[in-house]
Amino acid sequence: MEATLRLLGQFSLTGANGLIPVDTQSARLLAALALSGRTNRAELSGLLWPEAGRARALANMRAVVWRMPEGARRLLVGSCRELSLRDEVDVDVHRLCLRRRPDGLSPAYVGLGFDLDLLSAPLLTGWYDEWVIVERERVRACQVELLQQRASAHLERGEPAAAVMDATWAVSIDPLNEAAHQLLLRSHLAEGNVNEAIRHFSDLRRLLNSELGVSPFPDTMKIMEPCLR
Amino acid sequence: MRLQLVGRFAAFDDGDEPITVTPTGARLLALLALHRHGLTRGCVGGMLWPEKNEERATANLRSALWRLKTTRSIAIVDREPAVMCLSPEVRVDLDEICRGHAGDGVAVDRLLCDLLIGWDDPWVWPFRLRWRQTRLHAVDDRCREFVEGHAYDDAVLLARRVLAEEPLRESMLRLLVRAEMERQQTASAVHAIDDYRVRLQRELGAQVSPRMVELASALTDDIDGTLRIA
Repeated sequence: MEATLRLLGQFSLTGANGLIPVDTQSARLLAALALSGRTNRAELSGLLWPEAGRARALANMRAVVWRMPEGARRLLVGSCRELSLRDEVDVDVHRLCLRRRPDGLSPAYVGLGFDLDLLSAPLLTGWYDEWVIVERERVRACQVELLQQRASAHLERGEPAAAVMDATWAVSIDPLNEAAHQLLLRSHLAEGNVNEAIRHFSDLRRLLNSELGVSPFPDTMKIMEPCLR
Repeated sequence: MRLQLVGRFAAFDDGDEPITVTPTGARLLALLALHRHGLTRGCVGGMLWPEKNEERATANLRSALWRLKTTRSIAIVDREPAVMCLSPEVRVDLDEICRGHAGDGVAVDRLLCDLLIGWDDPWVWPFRLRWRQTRLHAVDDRCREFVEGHAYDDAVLLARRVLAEEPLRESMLRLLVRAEMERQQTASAVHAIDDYRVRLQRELGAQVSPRMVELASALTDDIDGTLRIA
């Protein structure tokens, strides 16, 4: 029973025989199961129906599970108090965040196999539930981190063009992250494109000034020094 | 309907006839084209009218939508009551170029165009940043393929065309120099480097990269070598 749950960008559920159509309520429940890490029915239903009372929320959740299309319901495993997704369900966000293992993952392996779309697509775009917004921030931080790690790895391997792309994407989804900007400047310079570095540096200066009223850090200036000497 | 974001904004109907859109309508369509999955009305109002309060922004948005409807466009749909979305049938040039490997089969002219020329809205910035790197690396790759495939004349032609638009792009200049050397056009290569060095200093007050220095000195050694042999 293979199934893939895609939560980055737009929600989709795919089984062995192709797309499994699910209604909005089922999609919300599946996403919550995959993202919240919670299995307690009371907690889950509280997350999904924060405004309903406990009994009402639990009843709502039962009804959603009951009405869920067969293809999707088979992916759930539960008891009277617990509910979770089967381990076999492949969730894109899990793959993304697994790569963030701190224990000496080889840099060459960082984020390999992820395209820029996956590394930059916001979680469940177009969903505005409170808990999704919180998770979206967490996933975004993870994406930015991965992009930066991968850009550094590309730089170390002498692949500045690939580093420029990753760092550009990092900066575009997290514009006030100066470490990502530094990485981008270093990548431009490693590629020899002094003009791009200078152009980006002046963008960065303007951005920091207008958003935060500050100047770039001294380390950032230092990166630019050799070419402006 | 088809939207053009690369270059200047333009909208076309199904018969590829241009559609006249108000400036506000154009910004709304472009914003939704860049956020294909949809945006809440609040978000759209905030991005298009950052200096107005929410009530005012909502009113502006409503009138922009109303005017778009009268220009017989059905481009925008409400996905949920509060979420606006570009209709899936609307084609957007940027998506189409980026869906394939950017560069394959795309005319160089398109790859030398900025996104939404003349617009300085802050929400364009991240997309412009990505598009710039995507397209310039696509032309670099294309030129490198020419050089590696020994198609030096094609490489020089492409490089000169790109450098006419982006005269300070060193990665492209290095490809030009390599191709010119392969064609044994040493003078042309030396001239291109000198020109670049002067321009970079004059326009940006900057020094060429160590990679360029290395390439240039390899070139001079080569010339010395040739001279000695001669």
